[in-house]
Amino acid sequence: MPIDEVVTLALYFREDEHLQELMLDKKEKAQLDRLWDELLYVTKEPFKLEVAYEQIVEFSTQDRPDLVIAWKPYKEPLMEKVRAFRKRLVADEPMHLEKVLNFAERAWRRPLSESERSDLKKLYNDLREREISHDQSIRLTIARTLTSPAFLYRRESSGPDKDPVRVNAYELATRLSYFLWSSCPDYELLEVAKDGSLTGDKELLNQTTRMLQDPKTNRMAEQFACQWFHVRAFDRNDDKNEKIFPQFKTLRSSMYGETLKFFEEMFRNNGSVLDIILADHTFVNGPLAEHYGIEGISGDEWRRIDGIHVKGRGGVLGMATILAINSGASRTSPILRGNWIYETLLGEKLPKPPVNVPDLPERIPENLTARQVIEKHSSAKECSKCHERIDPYGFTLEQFDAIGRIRKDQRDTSATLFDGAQANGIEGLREYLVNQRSNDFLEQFCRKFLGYALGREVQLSDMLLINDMKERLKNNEYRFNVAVDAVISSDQFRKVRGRLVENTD
Amino acid sequence: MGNMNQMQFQCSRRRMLRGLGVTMALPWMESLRVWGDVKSDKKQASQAPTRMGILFSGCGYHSREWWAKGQGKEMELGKVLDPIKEFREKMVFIRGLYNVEALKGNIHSSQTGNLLSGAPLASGGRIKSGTSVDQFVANQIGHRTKLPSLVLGCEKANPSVHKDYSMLYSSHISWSSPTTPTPLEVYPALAFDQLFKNKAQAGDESVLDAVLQDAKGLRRGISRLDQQKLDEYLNSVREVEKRIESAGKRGELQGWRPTLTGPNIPRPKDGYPQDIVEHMRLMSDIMVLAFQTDTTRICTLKLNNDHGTLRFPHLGVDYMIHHLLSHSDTEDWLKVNQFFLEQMAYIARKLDSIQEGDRTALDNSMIMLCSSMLTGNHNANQLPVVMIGGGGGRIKGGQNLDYLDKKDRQMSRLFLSMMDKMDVRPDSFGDANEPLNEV
Repeated sequence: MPIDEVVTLALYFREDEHLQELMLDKKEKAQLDRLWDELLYVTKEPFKLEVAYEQIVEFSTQDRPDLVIAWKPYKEPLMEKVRAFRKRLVADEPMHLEKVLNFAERAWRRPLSESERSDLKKLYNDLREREISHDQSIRLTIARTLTSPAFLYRRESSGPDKDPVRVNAYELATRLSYFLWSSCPDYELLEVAKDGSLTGDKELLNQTTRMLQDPKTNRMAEQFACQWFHVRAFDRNDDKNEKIFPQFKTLRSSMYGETLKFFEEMFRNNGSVLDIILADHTFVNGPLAEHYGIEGISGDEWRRIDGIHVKGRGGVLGMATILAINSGASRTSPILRGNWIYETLLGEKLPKPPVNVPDLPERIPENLTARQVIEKHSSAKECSKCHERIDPYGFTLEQFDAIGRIRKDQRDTSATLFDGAQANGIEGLREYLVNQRSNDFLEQFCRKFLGYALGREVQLSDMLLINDMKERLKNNEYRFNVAVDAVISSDQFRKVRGRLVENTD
Repeated sequence: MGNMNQMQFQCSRRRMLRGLGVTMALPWMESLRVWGDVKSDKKQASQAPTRMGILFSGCGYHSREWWAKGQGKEMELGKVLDPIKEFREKMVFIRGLYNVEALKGNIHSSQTGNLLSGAPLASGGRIKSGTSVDQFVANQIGHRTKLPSLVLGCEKANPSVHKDYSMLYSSHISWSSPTTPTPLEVYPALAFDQLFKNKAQAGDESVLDAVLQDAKGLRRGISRLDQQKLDEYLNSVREVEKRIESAGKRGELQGWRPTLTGPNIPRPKDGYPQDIVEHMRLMSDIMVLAFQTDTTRICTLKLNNDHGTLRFPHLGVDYMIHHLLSHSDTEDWLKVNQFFLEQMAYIARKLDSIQEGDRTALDNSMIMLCSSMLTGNHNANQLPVVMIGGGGGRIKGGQNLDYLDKKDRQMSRLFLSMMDKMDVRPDSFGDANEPLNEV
């Protein structure tokens, strides 16, 4: 609606009689009515109309004073609406405050104590007494809820002495939902915490199964898998030289999407954790398929494709995210890729490199390959001690360039690994890892997974649980749910240490 | 992208706290404390006070173009330092200082979070550094001005983790306590408001009171281990409290009157500047303005993060982020280095144009620029350090100092020297007991 020559005002106008008459049933009509009511409520439409009325009257009568009369009959019905709306808002105020209290229970993940309830109400009332508007007072009360340690910290009541005690049902619900969803418990979980049934094995397992199938499990893909593999937030990765890889910026979110989808599917459908290395499937959309040289797939839609070992992909070793993050800005780095396999995937530890190691060139000289440059760099005796453990892994992946494309020219991808085994290319590496190193990999998985579930560093005292988890995985086709079950049934997950335990670090 | 859930997960608790802290604290509270209740000590001055400005940029400089030869007017400078050439006679170039703790952890983050404190850094999920020199001084003399200190930045903090060290270390040179990075202002308009806005946002202190109530009851019924965690929270709350306390306050007037009492530039536009040139210029203006109006005497300005992601389209260097550029010694890297030094020159030039009695504001200031490594190859065994300004007539300009082959070459010795000019003289700071005699 125009206010004057330059200013306009947006108002909502409903016109859907025909739609209602011809298309909608009773329930749908009611829903539409409700949505309109909500829209007009949150936009405070009647107040806006009042302003709009005044302005349009002024605008339209500035050179036609005679029209003032014509506008007059509209005023009273409008003001009637405004008064009714104001009344409704005032009547709703206690309900808003009640909703904030409910919100606080969600945010604090437990019922409020009587004094907490009355404190929140008191804050709101004090603010109102200081002539702060209802809206602003509600906002401040919400701000107060979210700055409370009860929201910011997952506080648990520990045992009275040094002995660990079981966490209570609400604390268990919180542990479970942050483990699986990286978020606070939903209503259903809070319900079974309230009636106490959650602390029983059966209900805990029920809830776990339900929650794992929920789409919110994608957060475990992001927070657990992608953090473990150092690719979290890859869609904002800024580490490439765009002179050389101008396409990277538009591709990076598709690359990230593949990794997220791969793990989400594994977690939700009880996949095999060995597939992290071994999978013969992955997820692609059009742009990523093109990047991977897979034909016949277009559009932004994601789809699973199977039988991709023959395309040189499958598992994390063939993912663009992993290959790119372990490369330089302008070239590949067999050192970074090798080190990632050694430390991140297999859980081995290398000492820190000595200080003042010369930098490798940002660009590989014309007449050399990255492999040749690195072989020279790593040949010094004090360097080779470590590099011979990591570089060979990286050499097997040299067929992939710095953004994970398969190079057109054939590279030397054969390598003698530190234990003397031979491996060639991604297939050779994959085979070696699964046949020779699956125990190391499984142990690393269990350590990372347990650490993530508990939100703390894994300690020596956790080794029994880790070994148990590993054995159970081996005996159950490496199913993901077996690992989850081992975690949730452990003392580590169900108990909290006593308050007199001294700091150990 | 950008939906609520994702937003939530990208925020650590600490950020959340800081975020709320900032929104709660920035709108000025009406005088919670009556000003003038702090007694002044010594230096009954008709003399202008000394100001301390610290500029930081991450990832070091061009490996062959950061050097100085000779002294005074005759001093020759590497190309990186070209923009500050005109200040040779008011400059101290310092080679060879280092921070031994920075050599112990991971590259980047563990070289930056303790740059201004010399403290050991915690890794893993923990955050622990040391109180930085600017905040140490602010604790001692900050009550004399409306703001104890001003902490500015031109790149947002990075909440992620890099090789087992929190990237908070890479994003914060200023630390109010070992566990609390000082809330950093990256919005020019809000920084401007810190200096000049005096009106309260109704209701904020009621919320703070309620939060303080929580803080009180907090220690009951939790393990000792968890109590340590909660210290982080308490520190954050205290930080907000401090800011609220300083609101509405005015500095002590000790005979000397600043040459300017209100802003001489318009309030910057709301929002985050999209243009890095404009962003740095505004922040530099605000630093100068804060010093000129004596709103604070202590200011840090983080020009970018260590491991930072700024791009420089105005220099034609848009194809790589700052951190990646630092791994090369190209012409483009040199251009970017010079752009940072131009900021220092701009600040120095502005201060030098302000006459305060028989000296300029630059003579009454010390503007120190440093990075957490000499070059992009993470060499923290010698830090790039250059300082402009007379420190209130107590720093001899035109010096070219080299400590590389000397024994006690701790960066913290320089901090003791700088603190001395601010009339703050602790027995020791970081890993140093003695100031640098030459500075």
